[in-house]
Amino acid sequence: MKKFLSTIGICAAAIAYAQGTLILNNYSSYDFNGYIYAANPAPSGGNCYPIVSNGTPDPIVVPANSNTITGTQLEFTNYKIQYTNSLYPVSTWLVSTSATNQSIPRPWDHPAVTPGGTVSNNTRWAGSKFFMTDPATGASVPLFNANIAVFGSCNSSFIPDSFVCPSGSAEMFTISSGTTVTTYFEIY
Amino acid sequence: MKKHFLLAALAVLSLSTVSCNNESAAVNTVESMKTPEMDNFSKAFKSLGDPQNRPTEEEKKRNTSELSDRRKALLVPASKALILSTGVTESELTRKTNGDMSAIIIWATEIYSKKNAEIRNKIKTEN
Repeated sequence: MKKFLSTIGICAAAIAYAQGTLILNNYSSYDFNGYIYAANPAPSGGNCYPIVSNGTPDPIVVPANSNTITGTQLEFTNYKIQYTNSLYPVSTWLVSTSATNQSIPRPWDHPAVTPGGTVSNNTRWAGSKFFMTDPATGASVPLFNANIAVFGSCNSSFIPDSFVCPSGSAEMFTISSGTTVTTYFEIY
Repeated sequence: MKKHFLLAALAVLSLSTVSCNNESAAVNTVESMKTPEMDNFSKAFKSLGDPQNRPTEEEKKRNTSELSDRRKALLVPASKALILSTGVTESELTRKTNGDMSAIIIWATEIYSKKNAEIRNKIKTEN
C-alpha cells in the first residue's frame, strides 16, 4: 500500500512538473538576443538543479516584431520537438544536474533531454538574460537589457518577473490549468 | 515601325504584369493567411502590454507567476471566439472548460499553434 501511494506520488510529481510550452513574443521593433533557461520549479535548499539552457545558438535571436500576430513567435514545446517545429531551433542544450556536473552539452535528440525523461520532468521554463539590438545597426539599445525570471523559479528571489525601460518592457508569466502550464515571455 | 513599337510596349506591359503577379504571390505570409479569430487572439495577448492592462501594484505583490484574473479576462473573449471558429459549440466549450479562464486560454493557444504550424507548412510547400 505504501509503495502504491509513493508510486502515485512520484507520478503526480512527474506530471506536475512537466516542462510545458514556452511562448516568446517580441512585439518590439528591436531584435531580442538572449539566453533562455529552465530549472527545477520546486527548488529546495537554494538548489535549482536540474538547469537547462541553450548552448547552440547562444544567444537565441528573435528578430523585431516576431510574435503570434505575425506568426513568427518563438515556441518551444519541449527540448526535443522544438528542434523540428520551432522557428528558432536550439540544436544543443547545456544541462547542469549538480554543482559538480555543470553545463553538459546535450544535442536536442539526446536521451538526457527527451520528453518524459528525468530532466524534462523536473524542469520548467524559468528565466532569461537578454539584450535588445537595433536591427538596422546591430547596436545595443541603451538600457533595454535585463535578467528576468518567472516568479517562484529558483532565481526569482533576486530577479524580477517584469522589466521596464524607456525603450520598452518585458514580463514573464504562466497560465496554468490542471497539469498544463504554459509560460509566456512577452517583450513590448 | 509603329506596329513594332506597339508590340514592344505590349511585351513590356505583359512582362511587368507577370512580375507583379509573382510579387503578390510572394507576400503570402502567415500574417495574411491567418483567420480573423487567430488575429484577434494574438492581438489580445499584445494588448496585455497596453498601459491600462499592465499589472497593478497590487497584482505585482501577489506571490504567484500566474497571470492575474483581471488580465486573463482580457484574453477570454478572443480565446472563446477562436475555439468556436473550429466548429466547437458553446455547450461543448462550457462542458470541457467548466468556464475556467485558464482552460479556455490554453485550449485556444493550442488551436492557434496548430493552425499557425499548418499555415507555415502550406507556405513552405507552395514556395
